Amino acid sequence: MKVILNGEPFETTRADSVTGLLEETGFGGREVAVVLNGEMIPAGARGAYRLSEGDHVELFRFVAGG
Amino acid sequence: MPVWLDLPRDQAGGTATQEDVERALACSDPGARELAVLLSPAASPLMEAMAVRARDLTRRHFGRTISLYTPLYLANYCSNGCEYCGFASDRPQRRVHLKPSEMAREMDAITGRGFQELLLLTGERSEPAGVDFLLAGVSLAAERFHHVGIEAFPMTAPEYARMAEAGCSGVTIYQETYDPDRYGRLHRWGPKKDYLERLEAPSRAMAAGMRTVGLGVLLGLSDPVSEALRLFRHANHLRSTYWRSGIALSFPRLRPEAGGFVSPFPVDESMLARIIFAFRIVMPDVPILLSTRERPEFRDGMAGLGVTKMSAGSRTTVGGYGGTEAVDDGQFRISDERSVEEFCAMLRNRGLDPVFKNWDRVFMEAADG
Amino acid sequence: MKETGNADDSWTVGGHRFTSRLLMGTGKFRDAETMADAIQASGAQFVTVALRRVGGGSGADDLLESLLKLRGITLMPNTSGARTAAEAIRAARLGRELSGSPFVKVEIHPDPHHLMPDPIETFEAARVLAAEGFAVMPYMPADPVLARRLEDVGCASLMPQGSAIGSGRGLATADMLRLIVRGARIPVIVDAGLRAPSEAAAALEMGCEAVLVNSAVAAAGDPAAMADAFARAVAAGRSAFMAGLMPRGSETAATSTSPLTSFLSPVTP
Ligand code: SF4
Repeated sequence: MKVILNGEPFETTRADSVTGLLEETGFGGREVAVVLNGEMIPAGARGAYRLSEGDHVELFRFVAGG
Repeated sequence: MPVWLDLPRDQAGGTATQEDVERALACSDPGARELAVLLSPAASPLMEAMAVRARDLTRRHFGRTISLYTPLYLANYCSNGCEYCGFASDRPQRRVHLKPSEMAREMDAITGRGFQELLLLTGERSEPAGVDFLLAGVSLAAERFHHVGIEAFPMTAPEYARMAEAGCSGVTIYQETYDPDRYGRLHRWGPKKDYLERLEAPSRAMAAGMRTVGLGVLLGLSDPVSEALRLFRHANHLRSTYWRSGIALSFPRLRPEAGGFVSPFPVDESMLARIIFAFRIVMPDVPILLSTRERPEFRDGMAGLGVTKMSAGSRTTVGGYGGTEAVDDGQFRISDERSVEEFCAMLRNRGLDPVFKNWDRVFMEAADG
Repeated sequence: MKETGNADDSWTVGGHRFTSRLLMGTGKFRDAETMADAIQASGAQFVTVALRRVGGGSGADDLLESLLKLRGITLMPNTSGARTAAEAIRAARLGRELSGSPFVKVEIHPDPHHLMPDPIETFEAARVLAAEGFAVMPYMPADPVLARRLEDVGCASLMPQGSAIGSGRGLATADMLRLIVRGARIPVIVDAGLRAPSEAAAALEMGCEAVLVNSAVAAAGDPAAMADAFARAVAAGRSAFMAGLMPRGSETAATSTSPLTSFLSPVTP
């Protein structure tokens, strides 16, 4: 399935949920905030969100900054 | 009593030395501590230095101008028993109120003398002289004056809002004394007995959008130094909470009145002057008023030395400016009986410019349309 | 007038109590280790972090880990990168999701060249976020009226500029800062423009509750040593404020030739 991850096309091999996508991209268990089609998905609710073809997924994390 | 009115122990000023006074005079950002020092006995030999500082600050913030206003008593009914007042309900005064046509005639007589700012006064709210009566007065005044203030009974916030809507932009309400015990004893009966109700009135007026609120103490009722310190705290509290409204201060001294009340804490001119200088120093941008209660020589001397706003040609009787014949004895006796012309000539002689016009009304109209 | 009377001289913002009055930014450090050392040396309990989309590689994304190794640190996500209130609000919500803390440093600078805060968008974002329960700490121009307005909409603190961000001009806005401090009932924290510890001390001396520094430490020759110097300057400035500064030299040494007070009568009415 093709989704748009952080603005780039991304082909998932097995993931069909937000949690699955995080694992596949190596962010499972890491501190990231997930935005699915413009809506923030709280960490506890990620398992419940299925992915569909063409979904926009954005992942955010903290970086250094003033 | 609310915490913001508490006086911290270290600010009593009782142990201040002359050096402390000099330091307070030179302080670039003086506050409560400096006020206490400037009012302490140690400051009395430094009156001249205080006067110079007060004059310089007054000039810096207000230029060489004195704004003029005049009071108009609309009624003298009162159900309160303020021991010090000639309108108290046990005084044998003739009780009267002005009819709208009389108000209009009085006001026209006042504008005829050049005034653009009017202060409307009444006693406690009563059947013939309540909120609606005062509103009628405000509306008539708003058609004729640029700035209309009221000095009447405490009101609710919605009542203040109605006053503002009718064209009132200032509310004056003195606590008289901040000492709750003394307050309770001096206000023998009537709604004014409620200390906190009166204390909160300025906040309500400000919350209702009043542009200026006048605060003050009636000097002579209690220890003037603690009164001044509490007044300062009250003013600061209001300034930080309602920053869109301005504050004005006044320090009326007890005057002889009909009932013959004798002041338990007489304040002489030099103490009154010192209080005014000290407030100018700690609150350099706040208007300070001085009424015709004081004698001409004192008023002339104080003009521009802290004082920025003065009444002239005043009557403390109901009406009495020419529109109607005064029939009562007035709230208190006036000391400065000079005419407006004489008073203005004196100001000009001293290099001060009498200012009649307050521009609030123009801005308010611009905001409307 | 602010009441400051804790025995340990701590200060409170957004319901959290802090003893350190030095806040640190985490940007512009050579590497994560230098940053962690500097923060430790500063004694800061409150540090800002930015929020970015996860990049392709995962090079320097262990910032959080090195920060979390330091104990007693509260994170304040900022909204840097936002050019409008809407963007800042979105960033704040994401930041809260990640940090679990109610704090947000609202910073909105639409002009990429000078990073000056946009007062209008900042006000709007602060209004919305405060209503949502955030402890809003707005990075703002040193404008006393804007300060009142931001306080009115429920901000937890004010973070006026000492001078233009990155300018290292110190407290160029000192007169405005004094007015802000005098009117504020919430903590005032000077943010941006500081270069030397003496400037941080001066901010505390005038009654600011704390300062936030970043470049001054990150770009110093020895960041950890500079962080320590700032910590001591902040403590000294605070002590000086509490002690009460001696006033400046008298402005009115001269007395007039003809006395101003000769009209006073000694008689009481
Ligand atoms: S001071 Fe005012 S309230 Fe008191 S008796 Fe006089 S008119 Fe009435």
